[in-house]
Amino acid sequence: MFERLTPEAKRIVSGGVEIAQHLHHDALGTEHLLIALAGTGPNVATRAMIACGFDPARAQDDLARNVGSSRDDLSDADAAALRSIGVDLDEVRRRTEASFGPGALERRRRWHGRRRARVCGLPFTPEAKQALELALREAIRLEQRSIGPEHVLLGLLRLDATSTHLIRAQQIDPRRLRSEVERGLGNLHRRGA
Amino acid sequence: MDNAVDLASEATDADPAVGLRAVAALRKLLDRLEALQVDNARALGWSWQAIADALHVSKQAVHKKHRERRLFRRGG
Repeated sequence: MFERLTPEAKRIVSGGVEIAQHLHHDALGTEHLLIALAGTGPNVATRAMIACGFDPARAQDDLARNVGSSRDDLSDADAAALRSIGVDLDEVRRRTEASFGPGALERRRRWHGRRRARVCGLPFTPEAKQALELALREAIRLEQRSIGPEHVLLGLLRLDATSTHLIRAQQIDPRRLRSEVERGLGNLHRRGA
Repeated sequence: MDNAVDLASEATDADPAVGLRAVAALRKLLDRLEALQVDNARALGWSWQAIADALHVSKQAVHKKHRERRLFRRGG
């Protein structure tokens, strides 16, 4: 799949990794791909995003505010501080995990599967992997040989994932964004013909 | 002496740095527990009003604090 990405689409993946690392997230998700995508171009995908009024800086703020990072997890120093006032964090963790499962006290889902595909050291979330698979399918549907930014955006828009939550948080209907991309692609083909 | 034991013994000296650090950690723990319990209550079909009553806060407060977070909580 990766070998089918255009150089610009590859930059979306590497840009997404940088954004995830900047936010101290421990996996590459659809949200990072979306924000990285907005920083490419100009191309059909970014023109459609601008036409719909998508603001990548705001999306990054929404992410930083709402998605916990590994830095937010309770640390050994927190455990020591709690012990100083008589709270046993290990016991609290044991009891919450007994009721709610492993990692219940952690703010974000962990992505440490050994077999998970990695890029630049970061694992993909299942949704991000699926978005790229859907992007490939979009490229095939549109009879393109390689996966460009517009196919990545169409792939992201096919999912109900963090990327679409970020779009909806800006009062943008993902379906409208999708039709803007399709319209842009139509114009491109007409010009090329 | 390790860091943890240092902290625990210094707490008895009423050092504000240690006490405040403990309060910050407790707040972090409280936030995690609240998020966990709110998510569980919603999963079990509790209304926002019922959750707010149990937490002794207004429905608006609990909604504002947790609605957006819940939208993003899965990550991915």
